Amino acid sequence: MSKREVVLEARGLKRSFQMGRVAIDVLQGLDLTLYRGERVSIVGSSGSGKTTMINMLGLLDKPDSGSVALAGEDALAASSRRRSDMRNASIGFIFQFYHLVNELDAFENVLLPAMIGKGWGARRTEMRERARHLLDRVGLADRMDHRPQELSGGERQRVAVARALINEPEVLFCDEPTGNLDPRTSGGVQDLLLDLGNEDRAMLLVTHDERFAARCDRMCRLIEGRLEPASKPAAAGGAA
Amino acid sequence: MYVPFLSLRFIQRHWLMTLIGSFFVGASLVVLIVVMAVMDGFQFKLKETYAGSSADMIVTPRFKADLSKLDVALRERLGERLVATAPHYQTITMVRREGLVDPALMEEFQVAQVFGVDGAAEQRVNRFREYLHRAPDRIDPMVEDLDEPFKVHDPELAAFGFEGVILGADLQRELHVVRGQRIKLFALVPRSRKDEKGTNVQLQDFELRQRLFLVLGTYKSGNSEIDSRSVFMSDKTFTTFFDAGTSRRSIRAKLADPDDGFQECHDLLEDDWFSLVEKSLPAGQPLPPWLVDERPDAELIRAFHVHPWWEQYLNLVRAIESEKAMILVIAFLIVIAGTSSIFAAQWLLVSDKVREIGILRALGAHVGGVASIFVMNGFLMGLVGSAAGTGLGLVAVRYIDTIHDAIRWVTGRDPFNPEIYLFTKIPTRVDMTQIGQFAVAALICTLIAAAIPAIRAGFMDPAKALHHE
Repeated sequence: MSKREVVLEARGLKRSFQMGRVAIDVLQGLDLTLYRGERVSIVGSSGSGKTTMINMLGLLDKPDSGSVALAGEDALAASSRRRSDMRNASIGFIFQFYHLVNELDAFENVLLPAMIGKGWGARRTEMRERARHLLDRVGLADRMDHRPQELSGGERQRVAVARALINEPEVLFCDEPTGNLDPRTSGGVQDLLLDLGNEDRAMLLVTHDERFAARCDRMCRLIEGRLEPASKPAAAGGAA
Repeated sequence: MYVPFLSLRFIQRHWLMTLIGSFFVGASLVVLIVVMAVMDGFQFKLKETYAGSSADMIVTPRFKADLSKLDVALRERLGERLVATAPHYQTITMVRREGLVDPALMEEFQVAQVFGVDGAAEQRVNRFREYLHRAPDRIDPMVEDLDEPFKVHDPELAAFGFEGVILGADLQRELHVVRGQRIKLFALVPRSRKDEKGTNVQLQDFELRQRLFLVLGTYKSGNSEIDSRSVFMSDKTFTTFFDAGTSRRSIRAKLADPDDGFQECHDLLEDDWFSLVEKSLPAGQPLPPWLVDERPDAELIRAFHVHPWWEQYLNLVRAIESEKAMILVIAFLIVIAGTSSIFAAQWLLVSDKVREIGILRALGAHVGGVASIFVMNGFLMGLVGSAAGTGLGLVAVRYIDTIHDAIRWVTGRDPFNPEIYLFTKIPTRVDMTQIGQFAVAALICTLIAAAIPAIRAGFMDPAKALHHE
C-alpha cells in the first residue's frame, strides 16, 4: 500500500470558553489526520463542539493549545494574513445556512474566493470559465445571474458548493451542509458532495445525519471534546 | 479587486443610507462654501471699496508742507516704485440742500466728509473714475465729464461763479438732491492761528463760511459708509473755501507693487526723511522749531505719517479676519457634524453585514481587505457628498441674492440688511483653491469617520461573525 499524503493534521487541540464564572472545555485534546482523497464524517450531539472544531481546523479561530498543520505548514504559527491566504487557497467551506453574499448573484458568489485570492488579474478569464463550469456541474448553469434570495435552499447550497471548490482547495469543510434542507433536496446535495469530495482533496463532513455520515470513507464521533472512531457500515481510510 | 466590487454592491443595496450620508456631507459643505464665499466677498468688497477710495500709500506731512513740492520730492526719492500721485485734502463739515427743508422728509443737516482732489490725478491713484461711472444701465452718466469731473459746463452757472461737487450716492439720496441742484456747505475757519513767533496757539476766533455748490454728479463705491458721507470737490475749490491749515493734507500714491511695495517705500523714505522735509517746505518757510530741536533723534513718523490705505481701517480689517477665522471654525464643525452621518451610516452597515464580514474572512479576505470595503464605502459617500455639495454650494453662491429674497419672503425677515452691512447686494467671492481645500477636508473627515466602523469590521472575529444571528 502506497503512503498516503497528509493534507491536514491536528494534534491535541484544546479550547475552552468562559461562560460567566464557569469555564467550559469544548475540545479536550482533539487529534485528527486527513489524507488526500479521503472523506471523513464527524457526528456528535448538539453542543458537542463540532462547530468549534471546524473553526479551529478551518483556521477561523485559534485553539488554547495544540497544533494544526495544513499541507505540512504550521497554521497556528502563521500570521493572521498568512492564515487568511491559507483559508483562501487551501480550504473550502460549506455552511448549514449557505452563507452566500446577498448582494451578489450566483456566478459572482462562486467567483468571490477567486477575486479575494492572489493573481486574480492574471487568472480572471480562467476563473470565470471555471465558475461557469462549476455552476454547470452543480446543475445551476441557467441560474447564474440569480441572487441568493431568488434561489431555493438546495440551489443556494449548490452555489455554496461551487464557491467552495473555485480555488481547488486541499480540504473541504462541510458544516451540516444538509441541515437546512428537506430530505429530497438533501439527498441531491449529499450525492453532489460525496461525488466532489471524492476528487483530489480531503473532505471533512460534520453532520447530525448518521446515514449521510456513514456514506463517507471514515466516520468519527465527537465525544467530550475528543474524536473517537465510530462504527460505520462501510469502513474505509485510517483511524482518527 | 473585490474591495471596490463589494463596496459598490453594498452601496447599490443600501442606496438610501448612502444617499442620506452623502446628503449631510453635501449640505454641510454647501453651508461652509456659502458662508466662506460671503465672508470672503464681504472682506474683499470692503477692502476693494476702501482701497478704491483711498490709495496704496498715503503720505501726510505733520508740518505745513507744499504738497506739489512734496509730490516732486517723493517721486525723486521713490522713482519707478511710484506709478502715480495725487494731492488730497480732507475735512469734516455739515451739508444741507439749498432752500427750505421739509423736516418730515429729512434731517436738515448731514455730516459730511469733504475731499479736495485733483480730478484727473485722483483717477490715477484709485478707483475714483470707476466709482463715478458705475451705472452701466443708466443712459445718463453719473458725472457729466469724467475727464474734468468738477467742471461746471453750464455757462450761465459758471458765469455766476458756481463751483461743483460730487456727492456720495447715499448722501445724495439722504439730501434729496439730483444732479443740477445745489447744496450748501459750511466751513469753520480760524481767523488767527499763530502768535508773533509763528507758532500755533489755541484757536479762539472763528469765521463761519457757507456757500452753495452745484451738484455735478454721483460717487458710488458700493460701500455705504463711504457713499453716505463723501463730498468731492476740486483741490483748488477746497483750499479756497476751507482752511487748508486745519485740514488733513496728504499725497496719495499708487505703487508699482501694491501688495508688497509699501514697506520698501516706507523704508526708503525713513532713510532720508529729513531731506524730504527740506524739499517740501514752502518757499521762504523755515524748518518747524520742533524739528530743529529734535532733529538728531527724530524719526520719519515725527515729520510724516506714511501709511497704507488699510491702516485707517486696521481694526475693521482685523475684526473681519478674526470673525472669518471664527466662522471658518464653526462652519467646519458643521462639516464634521455632517461627516458624522457617514460614521453612523457605516456603523449601521457594518452591524448589518456581520455575517457577510464573517463569510469574507472565511473565504480568505484579510483584515485590511474587509476594512477597505467599508472605508471605500465611506469614501464614495463622501465623494458624492463633496462633489454635490461643491456644485450646489457654487450654485447657491451664484444665486445668493435670489436665495436671500426667498428667505425674506418665507420668513418675513431680512437676514442681510444693507444698512448694517454697508453693501446693497450680498457680496460673494469664490476662491476655487479654498473650495477645493474644503472638499478635500470634507473627504478626509469622511475617511476618518468611515475608518472607525471599517476597523471594527476588519477586526471582527470571523468565527463569531459567521454565526451572528
